[in-house]
Amino acid sequence: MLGPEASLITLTLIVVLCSLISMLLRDKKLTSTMSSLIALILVAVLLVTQRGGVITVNGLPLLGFDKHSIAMLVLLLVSSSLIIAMLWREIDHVVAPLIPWTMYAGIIITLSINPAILILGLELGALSLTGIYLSYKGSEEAAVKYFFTSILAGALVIAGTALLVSNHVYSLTDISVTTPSLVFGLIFLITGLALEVGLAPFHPWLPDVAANAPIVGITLAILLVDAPTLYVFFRLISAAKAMGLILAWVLAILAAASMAIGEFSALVQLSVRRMLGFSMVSDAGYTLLLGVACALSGIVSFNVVVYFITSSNMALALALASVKDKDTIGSIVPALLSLMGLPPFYGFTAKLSVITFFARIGYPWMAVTASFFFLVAAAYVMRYLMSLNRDSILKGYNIFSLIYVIILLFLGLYPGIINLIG
Amino acid sequence: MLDALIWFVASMAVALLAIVTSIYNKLRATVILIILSTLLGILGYKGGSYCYYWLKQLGLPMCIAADGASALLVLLSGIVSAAALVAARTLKEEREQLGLAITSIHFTMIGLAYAYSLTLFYIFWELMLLASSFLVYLWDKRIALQFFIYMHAGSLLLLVAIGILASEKAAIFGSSVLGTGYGLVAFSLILVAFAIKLGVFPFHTWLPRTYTSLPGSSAAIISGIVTSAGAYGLYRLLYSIKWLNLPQSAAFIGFWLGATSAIVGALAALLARRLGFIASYSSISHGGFMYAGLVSFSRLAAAGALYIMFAHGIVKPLFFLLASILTKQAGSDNIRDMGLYAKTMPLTAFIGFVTALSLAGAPVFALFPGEITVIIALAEAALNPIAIAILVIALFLAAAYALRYWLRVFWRPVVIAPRRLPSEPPRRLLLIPLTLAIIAIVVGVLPAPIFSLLGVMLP
Repeated sequence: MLGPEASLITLTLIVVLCSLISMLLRDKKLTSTMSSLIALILVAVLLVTQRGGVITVNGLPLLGFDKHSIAMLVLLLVSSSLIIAMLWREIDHVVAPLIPWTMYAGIIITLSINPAILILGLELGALSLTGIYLSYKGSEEAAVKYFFTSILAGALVIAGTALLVSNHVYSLTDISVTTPSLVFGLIFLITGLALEVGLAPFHPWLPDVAANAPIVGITLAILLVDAPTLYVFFRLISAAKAMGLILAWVLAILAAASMAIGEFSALVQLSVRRMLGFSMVSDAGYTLLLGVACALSGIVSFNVVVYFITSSNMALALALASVKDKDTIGSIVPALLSLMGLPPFYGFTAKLSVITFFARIGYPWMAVTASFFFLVAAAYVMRYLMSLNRDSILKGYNIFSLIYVIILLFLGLYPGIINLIG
Repeated sequence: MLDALIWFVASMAVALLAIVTSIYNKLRATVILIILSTLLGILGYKGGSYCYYWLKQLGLPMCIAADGASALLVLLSGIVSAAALVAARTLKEEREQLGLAITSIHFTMIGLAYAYSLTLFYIFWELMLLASSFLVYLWDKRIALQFFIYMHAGSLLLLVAIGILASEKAAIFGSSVLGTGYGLVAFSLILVAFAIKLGVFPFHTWLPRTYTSLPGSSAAIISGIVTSAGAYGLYRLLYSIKWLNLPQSAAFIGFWLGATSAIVGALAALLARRLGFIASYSSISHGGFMYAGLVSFSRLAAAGALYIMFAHGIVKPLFFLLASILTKQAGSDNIRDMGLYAKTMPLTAFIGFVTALSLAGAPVFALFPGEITVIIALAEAALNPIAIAILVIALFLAAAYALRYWLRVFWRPVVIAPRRLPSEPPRRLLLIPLTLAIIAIVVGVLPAPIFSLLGVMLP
């Protein structure tokens, strides 16, 4: 059982060593991929066995190893490992060393309590993902779009952080809005993160990148950067005490707009990858709505948000990883059924938790709104599923995609395991 | 007190085996396993309850228990699934994976019948939707998509209602909830969700389109089991949860919705020319009848409505299978192209006769005991006489459309040019419809066993 500081040092060492080994194994594609895979697995094991706590420097909290963050990270790392195993043929010695760094960025983002540390994680994620995108021919445009968006998002977060720090606010988990400059700081921070997660109206880059980026890159982005950023986004909104009714309503409208734009745009897409890209836009909307509900009611349920973010991002990643190859196309069916929130898959737990949570805290209209958009999501998912060839669905599984599906099923049947992991 | 759990697990395990044998296209084994799972499922109806906390943080348990209504649903599902599987083979209406779809629906029905908490109920409800959409998908992808979206809209309303009920600490059946404020919202959502499932007017538009896009044996499953499950679900949510201080107007609106549907469906069936549409609109009418009985909050009317559910679940598949045979023999399903068939198809005419009188709610035929019980119960509950009169008019209209169909098809003298009458189909084709016809008569003649089964009700 390692403490937080020792855990951080160990995982940094694992990342550095594994990326170095991947880099050195130039002509050995499989071994190079194995090295980054081992990094993911080792870190997952490390996170499960660490004993929690907060890393502080001079009294300032930097990183918090809390049980919900750890549970989420472990699920995302396991999913990433399976995705890498599914797509190992597409990973070379240039991409393999970047994978541990993407993972490192995801961990830093998830665990960050301090806005400066968040910036570090976001920038590291942006750099490593841009590197992965640029490694594939034909993905340059997606790489440039992603890079510039991330830079802009980073700049906004830096501006917000500066205003927060000037008001002596050093923690992302406890923000009491007292001065106008603090409100502006919060707005900058929220806008930066909204841009990063593709919340409407800052979303146009996201479906383009989802459609054109390499599959390895976009699936890792969904699991290791998007999911942690969504989590931090939720934490920030839900922790912004006394946010003010006006700001809360503006955010609720933004969330509804994001859900509407994402789901209705997905409904008319002909490309499944663009469809899933728009689905990510709506997911950002649901997360924001959860955050606003928590901020307004004062009741924060990390379980619900962990269920929601992990289930939707795990399903999205599997769907994207399955779509390209006829050997794995079958797993897109359970992935999309989970995304749609049908039992007995993990997505159902998330959908049920979200609806029950909204009803419990006294916002049934939010439950109705979310349900309406769930229906739109069901429409485009079923339309796509019904266009698939039945024979290819039945045969299109490999061992890793099958394990992934079993995990989605297991988490649906026994979601309590997530609390045990944390 | 684990009896219900044991029967539930045993029945589900056998139903799962039926799914496996259906994948390998072993019809005989599948039918035997369906019958066995049905028997096991029925046996657990007095056997206590079992709960397991699935999502502890949100207070959402999974509970198992069964009563007479559960046993009736399992029995109906077993009879119709086995009949539809055999009929699909004899009528040559098979498709690859059809057995998988039918056995999966039966599997989810057992789960639905045993679900004693909102979460588990919803899980099996959604699984049933998925399996029935798959069944429709095997025949028509476009209709399957429409069917799924329509049904899923209802499911999501139900999900919101479940969320509200769970937040009011009524996640397990047998709990109480205040029928005011958010409780009233949940009640209204439940009414709409099940109106969609039962095809109650004006939420009925999916029903004729779906039924008529399927061959007889598959339509038998959707009309006989899936739609009937709507009545069971409504019963479970209205009667297994105690709705305290519910405004009378809420139930009153629900009653009028059902009564209107009973009239509109019967009128549409009276005007329809194709057999599939007559069956569909007749379903809307019967759905309305069940709905009106259930929302009246009279235990006797609810028992009557459940009786109609069972009888409707037998008679409607019978009608669809008969329509399929007639269409095959005559080459058309338009009753205007038919007539005098009784001369050459006496056995088919007899089955048609049983179907028509059952649909009409005539005494000693399947629907009669249920319909008369609902009307008596509503009269005892001192409901507005106009409302009761509306239901009686619906019954007269049902008699009118049922007799019109039977006379048109089997007796009407040919007024157009003389033509060759179709011959009696082979006996093996009539085996399943004849069996269902006999069951329809037995259900009409001997209502006591079913009513005594329905006497065992969960709190």
